[in-house]
Amino acid sequence: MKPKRDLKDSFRTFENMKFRSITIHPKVRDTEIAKRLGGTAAVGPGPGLSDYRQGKRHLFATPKRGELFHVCASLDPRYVCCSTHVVSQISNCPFECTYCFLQNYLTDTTLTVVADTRAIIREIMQKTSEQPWRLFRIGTWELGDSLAVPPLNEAAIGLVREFRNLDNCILKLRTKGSAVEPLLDVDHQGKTVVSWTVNPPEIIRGEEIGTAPLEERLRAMELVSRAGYPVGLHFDPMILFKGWEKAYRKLVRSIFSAIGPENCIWISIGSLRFNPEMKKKIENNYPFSRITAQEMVLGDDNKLRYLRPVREEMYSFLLQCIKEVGCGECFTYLCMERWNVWEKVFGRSPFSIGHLDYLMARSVHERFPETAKKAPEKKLYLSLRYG
Amino acid sequence: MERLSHPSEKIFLIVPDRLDLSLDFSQILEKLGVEDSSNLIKSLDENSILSPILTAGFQGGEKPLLVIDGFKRLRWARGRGLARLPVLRTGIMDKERLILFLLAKYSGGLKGCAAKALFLDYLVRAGFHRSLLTGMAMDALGLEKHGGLLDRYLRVAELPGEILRFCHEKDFSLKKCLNLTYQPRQLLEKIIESRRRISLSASLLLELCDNITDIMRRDQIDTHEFFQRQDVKEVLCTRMDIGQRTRLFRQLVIRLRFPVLTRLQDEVGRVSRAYFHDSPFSVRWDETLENRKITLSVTLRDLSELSELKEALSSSETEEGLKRLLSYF
Ligand code: SF4
Repeated sequence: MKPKRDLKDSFRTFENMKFRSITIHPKVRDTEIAKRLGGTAAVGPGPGLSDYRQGKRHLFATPKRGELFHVCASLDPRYVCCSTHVVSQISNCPFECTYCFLQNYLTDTTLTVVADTRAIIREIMQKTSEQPWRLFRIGTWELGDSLAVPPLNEAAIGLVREFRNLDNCILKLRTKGSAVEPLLDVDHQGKTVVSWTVNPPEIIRGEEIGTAPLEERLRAMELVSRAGYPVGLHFDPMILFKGWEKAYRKLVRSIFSAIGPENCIWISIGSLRFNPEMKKKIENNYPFSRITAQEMVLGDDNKLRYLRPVREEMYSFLLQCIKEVGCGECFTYLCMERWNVWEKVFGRSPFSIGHLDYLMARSVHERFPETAKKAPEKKLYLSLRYG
Repeated sequence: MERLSHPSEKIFLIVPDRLDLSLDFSQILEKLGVEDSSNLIKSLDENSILSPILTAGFQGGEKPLLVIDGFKRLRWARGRGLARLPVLRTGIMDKERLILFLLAKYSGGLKGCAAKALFLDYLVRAGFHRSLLTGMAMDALGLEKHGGLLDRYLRVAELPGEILRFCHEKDFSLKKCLNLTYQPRQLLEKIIESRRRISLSASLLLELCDNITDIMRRDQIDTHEFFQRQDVKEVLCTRMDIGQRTRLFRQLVIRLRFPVLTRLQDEVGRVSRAYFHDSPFSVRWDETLENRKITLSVTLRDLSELSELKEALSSSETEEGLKRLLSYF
C-alpha cells in the first residue's frame, strides 16, 4: 500500500498560516493582545467551531474563564513526571502534527487565546505563593504552540514581562515555529525559557505539517539565545524510521552548532505515544503517515508506546549524541517514562517525582542563577505528594 | 390495459414491462441470505399467481406502475415469460403513506445492523426525504432518531455485499460494522474469501484486519503482496483442521506485526521453561515487557508441600532464573 501524499501536499500549498477570521470578545477589546490583533478583527462572540482543521484557521481572543493553572495533565505516579505546571492560555494550534492529541481532544476547536494577561498572572500569583520555596516551571503549550505564528507569538509578550516579577516562577514558551522576533527586544531578565520541540527534517517534513523547517528553528534558537533567553530542548516525540540514528545524531550536532551548551537550560527526551482511540484518528486524518504502524504496546497510562527495549535504545543513543557534543552537563530527563527505563538509560532514577522537581530546580539555580535566584531545599521538594 | 371483471373493480391485467421494480428490497435481502424464496417458488410453479401484484396509486398513465408488493411473483412471471399479470392499484398516493407501507412490510423482519443499514440505504435510494428516515424509519427500526446515527448506518451499507452478508451472519454490532468500513476493502474481501480456510469470528476478523493493515503500511506492500508472502501462503494452504490452521495464521500475523515483541517473549518464555518447568510455583511476567515485575504463584494442597516450596524458592537455580528473567525488564 503506497502512502498517499496528496493530502499532505495540499496542506503545504494551502495558505495554512493565514487566519480566515479574527474575533475579539467585547470584554477583552481593550487588552494589549486585542490591540495587537489589529483593526481588522471583529468584536463579538467566538465562532464556536467543532471541526478540528477548520478551528485552526479562526482566531478568537477571549476573557479568562475558570482556572487555567494546573500541574501537567500527564502526571501519573506510575511514571516519572517532571511536574511542570501549565497555564492554558492557548487552545488549538495553527500547525498540524499528525500525532497531535488535540485532534481527539478539543470540543470547541476555535484557536483561542486568553487575552486577559493580568487575570492569568493573578491566578498564578495566588497559587504559587502557597509554596514560595518551590520553583514553578510554567508552560503555555498544553493545548497549543506558545509562539506558532503572528499574532499568536505576540500574545506571549505580556506574560514574559509579568514573569520578571514572579520570583519563584519560570515561564516556559514552547514552539515548533520560528516566529520569535517580538520576543527579542523584551526585557525578560532570564525568567522566560524559550524551548523547541525538535525532530530531524524527515519527521518535520512528513509529520509536523506547517511547522518551521529545522534550519528556521535553529536560526530562531540562535536569535533568542543571543537575546539572553535560556533555551530548552524537547526531543519529544522521538519517532522511529529507517535511518533514525543518523538523523538524530545530525540533529543534535546541528542544534549545538547553532547554540552553545551553556545556553541550554534543559533537555527532555520522550517517544511517540498516544491513546488507542487516537490511532484510528491519525490513520483517517493522515493516511500518508506511517507512524502508527510501528510496534507499540499499551502502557499503564493507557497510551501506546514503542516497546520498552526499543525506547531504551533510542534514548540511550540520543543521550550519547548529546554527550558527544559536550552537552552532558545540561539537565537531561525523560518525559513520562517508567522508573526502570530511567535506570537503563541513565543508570539511576530519581527517588520520586518531587526528587526530580528538586534536581531540576537545583540545576537551574546552579547553571542559570538569574532564572532561579534561591537554592532549592531538598527536603521541601521531597515532601511533595502527587497523584 | 385490459380491465377484468372483479368486484373490487381495481384489478387489471397488465404486461410485466409496464411495471416499475425499483422498490424491490426482497432481492437485497436475498443477497444477505435473509430471504428464502423456495417455498414461494414451489407454490408459484404449482398454482401460478393467486393474488395480484400491488402498486402505488400515484404513478401510472405514461409512467410504469410502481410495484410495492409482489416482487418475487413478478420476477417469477418474467422468468416464465407470462404475457400479463394481475395488478391491484392501491390507494397509496404519497411518499409518507408509501414509507409507512414499506416499514410495515419490512421493518419487523430486519434484525441486525447490516440488514437495517441496507434498508435505510434502500429508502435513501428510493428518494425518501431524510426527515422521513430520521423520523419514521429509524423509529420503526428501533433506532435512536438522529442524523449522525443514520449516516453511520449508511456508511455501513456501502460495504461490499459479501462483507455485509458476513456481518449479518455473525450479527455484528454497528460499532463492529463501522470499524470494518475503515479497513481497506481489498484486504477485507481477501480475508472473507479465506473463510473456507480459517474460521472467522467477529473479533478475529477485526484483529486480522488491523494487524495486516499495519504490516502493509509499515512494509509498504499491498494486499496481494501480503497474501503472496511464502509464509502466509504456506499457513493458508497447510493440510490440517480449520481450527488449527486459524490458530497458526493468527500467530503468524501477530509475529509479523510484532516481530521484536514476539521474539523477546519467546526468549523470556524459554528462560522461564529452562529454570522453572518443574517448579512447585508458576512464574508470570508482564507480556508487554513494560513492568519490571515477576509474579510467582503457588497453590498448596497440603502443609507438607511447604518444605518443597521453601527449598525451591531458596535454591540457587531459582535465583539465577529470576535474575535472568529480570534482565529482560
Ligand atoms: S505544534 Fe503541538 S499543538 Fe501544534 S499541532 Fe503540533 S503537536 Fe499539536
